[in-house]
Amino acid sequence: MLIVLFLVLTNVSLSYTQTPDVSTLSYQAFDQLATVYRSGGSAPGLVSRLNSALSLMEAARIERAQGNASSASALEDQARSMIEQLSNQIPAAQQQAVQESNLRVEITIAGAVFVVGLLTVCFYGSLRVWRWYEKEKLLEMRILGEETKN
Amino acid sequence: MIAFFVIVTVTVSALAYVELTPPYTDQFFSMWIVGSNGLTENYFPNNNPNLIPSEQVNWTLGVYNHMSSLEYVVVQVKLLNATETPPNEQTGVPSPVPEIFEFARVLVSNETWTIPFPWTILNAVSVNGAVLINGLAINGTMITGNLAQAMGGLDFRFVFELWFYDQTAGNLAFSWTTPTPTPATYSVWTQLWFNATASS
Repeated sequence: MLIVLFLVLTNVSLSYTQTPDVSTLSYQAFDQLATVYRSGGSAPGLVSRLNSALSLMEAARIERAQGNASSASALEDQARSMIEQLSNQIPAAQQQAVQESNLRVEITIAGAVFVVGLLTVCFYGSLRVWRWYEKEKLLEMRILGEETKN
Repeated sequence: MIAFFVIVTVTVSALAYVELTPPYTDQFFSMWIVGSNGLTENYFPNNNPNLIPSEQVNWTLGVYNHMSSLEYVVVQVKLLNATETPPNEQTGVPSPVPEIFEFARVLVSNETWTIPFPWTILNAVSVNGAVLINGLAINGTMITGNLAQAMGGLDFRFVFELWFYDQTAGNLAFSWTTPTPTPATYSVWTQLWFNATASS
């Protein structure tokens, strides 16, 4: 009974201390980066660092395949630390992407309103000028008509 | 005047919508292999696909992301003989043969990834009329084990499968389905054949 209890407790404590493997971390970082790009933003620096981490993971795999477990673990730790660092910077990039996206929408809408307003004012102005011109022309004709009668 | 205002508003709104909405483009990956001169030729030394151990072969893989999004791609390298099951693009099922090497990278939209792939057969032995490759070097990395076996050393092939991280499934996927115009399954893979001679 005590042994069973010990095993259960050990399992529970192990499950609490387990950290995700490097591949899972890289997928999570990618997921977050993808949202930055989906929002219309970009983070080439973070993508480049994630690629560096992927290269380290590849090197770790090779080292492990060649039987150099300690070297592989060191490379994986390096990759893990790199991914954790860049993951901490992703929320700021996400926020910036959202802000840039909102700004782009706002600029486009403001531009559209401005263009509509400008064209309407221009059209109204030209209409007024045209009417004024027509009136002037009409008056000019009348005057000319009077002169002709005389 | 009101009619003019309405027409201008509708036209400018349509232009603004087009500006803010990315155009729909066909979404696909592509992958290719070129030979030592960067063209689809000279895949083998002296154009001879009958390789002997320690003969270096220089290929370059290319992967292009036209999925209009950031993609996490993995190229899995598999060594097969003629009878082992290759990937099936109709069903989107990858080859069941385990990969011997892989490359991973995150690609932005419209990015092309070039992967140097120099390789050498390090060791191949004769087993009952078949040739068993049990040592390879890829990009300077030694890979050992019973990698592939072919009768008479004929028709080995390197299969390159393109996998990508499926964000919905939360795992790597080999194929994807497009909803439009008609639902279809797509996957990307390529292969190159060669023959091997046993080490003397």
